[in-house]
Amino acid sequence: MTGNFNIRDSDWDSNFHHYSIHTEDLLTIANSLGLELSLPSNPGPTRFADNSRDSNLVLDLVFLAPNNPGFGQYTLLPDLCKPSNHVPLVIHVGINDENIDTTIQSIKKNSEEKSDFINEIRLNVKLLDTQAITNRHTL
Amino acid sequence: MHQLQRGPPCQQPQVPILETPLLQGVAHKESPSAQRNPSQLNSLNCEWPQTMIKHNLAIFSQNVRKSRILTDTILETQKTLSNIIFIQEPLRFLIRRIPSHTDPYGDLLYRTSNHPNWSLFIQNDLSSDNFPCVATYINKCLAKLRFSLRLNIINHCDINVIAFHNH
Repeated sequence: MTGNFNIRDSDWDSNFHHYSIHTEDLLTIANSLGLELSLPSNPGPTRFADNSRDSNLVLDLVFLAPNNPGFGQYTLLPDLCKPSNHVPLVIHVGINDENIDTTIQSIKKNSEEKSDFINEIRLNVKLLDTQAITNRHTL
Repeated sequence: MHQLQRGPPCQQPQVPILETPLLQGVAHKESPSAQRNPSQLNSLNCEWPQTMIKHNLAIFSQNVRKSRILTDTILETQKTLSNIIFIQEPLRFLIRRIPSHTDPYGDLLYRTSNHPNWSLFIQNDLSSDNFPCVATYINKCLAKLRFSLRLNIINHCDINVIAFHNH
């Protein structure tokens, strides 16, 4: 269970020194599903302030089963949040092995199909209208 | 809020982990029906079924603040990295007006971003007043896992309950 819960609480934000009246309800819901609050492997704020007067916040939370291999292992990616001010979370949730039938497609190496495919890409790249691109900034 | 539930356990026999994973937590094994000798493979423009073994689900979650460029970027860049994307505050854009009993100009119908590599799961009330605040994208490479949006459990614009099973 994950998302932006918009709840500030000292339980998950060490820079915030108050409790929220909604925390108990949230934890009760999570516990009823067998889930507990999971902390990231690289703790930090998940929402950056829009201005210098406000502080950065921890609002985006992850709840997992405590015996799941992904518990306490998720990662914050603060460098990839723009243009949003919320940090992306990457979570790996362990599941029982699942066998999924799928189809793999590829072009045979050094085949005629491969050269045709590359030639088609080359031709279409040549047909791109590049008149408006005068330097790398207008690309 | 996004909630992921797992359905009944898989009934298929377990297959050992084989070969180099293509994604983290994934291994591939060629299906018995697809096993061919090298000369057969060379005569084909290779297309063959395989069995993918999933050990975990890679989930990407972000509040995009209704940014279309960010949503489209996530959908494109994560198509080979993640299995599930949880988006909060998805963007909405107007598709068209639909006939209305109350408004002579018709009601506004909105939708959100989509991508050919992802299946979109979102609450079905796409009207202007109550557009969903969460959207879930499932990578189509996992289509066989049969994901479903469980509106019968919770039907709310702020909550997606997603279940999956492999039967």
